[in-house]
Amino acid sequence: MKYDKILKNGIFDENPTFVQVIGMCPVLAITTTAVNGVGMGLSTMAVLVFSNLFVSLIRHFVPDQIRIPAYVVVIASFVTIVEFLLKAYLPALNNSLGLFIPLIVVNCIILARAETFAAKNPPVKSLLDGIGMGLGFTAALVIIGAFRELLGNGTILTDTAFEIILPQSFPRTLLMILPPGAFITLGLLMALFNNIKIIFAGKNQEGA
Amino acid sequence: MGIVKTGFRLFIITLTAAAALGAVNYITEPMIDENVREAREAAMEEVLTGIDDPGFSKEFTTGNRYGVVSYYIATKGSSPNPVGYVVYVDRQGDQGGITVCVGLDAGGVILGVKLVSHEETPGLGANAARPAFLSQFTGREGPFNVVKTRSANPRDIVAVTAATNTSRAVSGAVNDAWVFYHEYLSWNPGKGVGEP
Repeated sequence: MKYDKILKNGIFDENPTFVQVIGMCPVLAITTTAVNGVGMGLSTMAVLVFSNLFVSLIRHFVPDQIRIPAYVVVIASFVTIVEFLLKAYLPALNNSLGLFIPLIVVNCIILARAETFAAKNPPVKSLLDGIGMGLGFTAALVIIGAFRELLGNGTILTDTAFEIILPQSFPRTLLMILPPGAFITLGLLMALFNNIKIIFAGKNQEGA
Repeated sequence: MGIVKTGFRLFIITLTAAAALGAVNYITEPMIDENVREAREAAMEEVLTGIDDPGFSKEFTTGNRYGVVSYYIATKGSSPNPVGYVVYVDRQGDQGGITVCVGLDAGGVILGVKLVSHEETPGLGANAARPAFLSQFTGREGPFNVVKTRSANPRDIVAVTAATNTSRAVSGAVNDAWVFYHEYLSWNPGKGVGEP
């Protein structure tokens, strides 16, 4: 697989949220605001990139029978180290992302990419796969979060310099920031995403 | 590959991981402790609105009297008379435990409230950590009631929309601190629990 293809694969063709539908727990739980989506997405991406790299580096050393425990040890240690370093050197960043970091260990995207990609590919490709999947995941979280925040709370990017508050006459649908709103939004966006994919696929065939 | 060899390789991986974690922990632990202490001190100064550059006593633990976990006595300059108190209260929130830091002046008026830690739902209960809700307590005296619409009663606190339980928990924690002031601190100004 070409390098640019690996990147595009993660963001679009095999988007972890809209196409593979893995790692749903954080997607549904934390996407009440767009800012949460950015935080969770970027911290997951950081862990994903490095865990892919490490797993790829030790892939010839790890026997097949014990690969899962080996990956889990690598991922959990890596997340813990990141958490320690953030707390010690970047406490401000830790305050905004700290909540998400322990959740990353149990995010199955990390283990899925270690198992299906990094264990079979050289380090540079695995690194790129981590970046691609991480960007795809972040984009999905931000889109879902922005949609729910806008309809449920009437705001976008709260607590940042780009905060937009809709006029009070705009109806707030509280359901959208409650758990059912997550499922409804995810379903609608998944349908939209697949529709766009089908349109693109049709165009490519006409061209060829 | 035999079980001994496989086991040995897994042992090598876990050993490396444990060594790396130990090393990182050894380096970062004192820095993390220092950061936590600084953050706590900044929060304490923040809830004592209007008192510039206060000095703090050591932490007094209360054995959970009136729901209060611990408190600090604030003084100013070299005078031993207390100018205020910072009280830490633990309570059950809507989703998990909450820790609330309450600043009171020497007369028991609430100077500031901060939600130090919580596990409330982002976008709902978590909004109770914002100044829009917490600043309602400032300059008032308890006991506080949580209401849903704005009222003229100075003891009424308007709940965060769709987060009445969290609002009640925070307000309850402030009440705990306020009761602790009236039942204990106002009778023993400037003293720690158990001090003569």
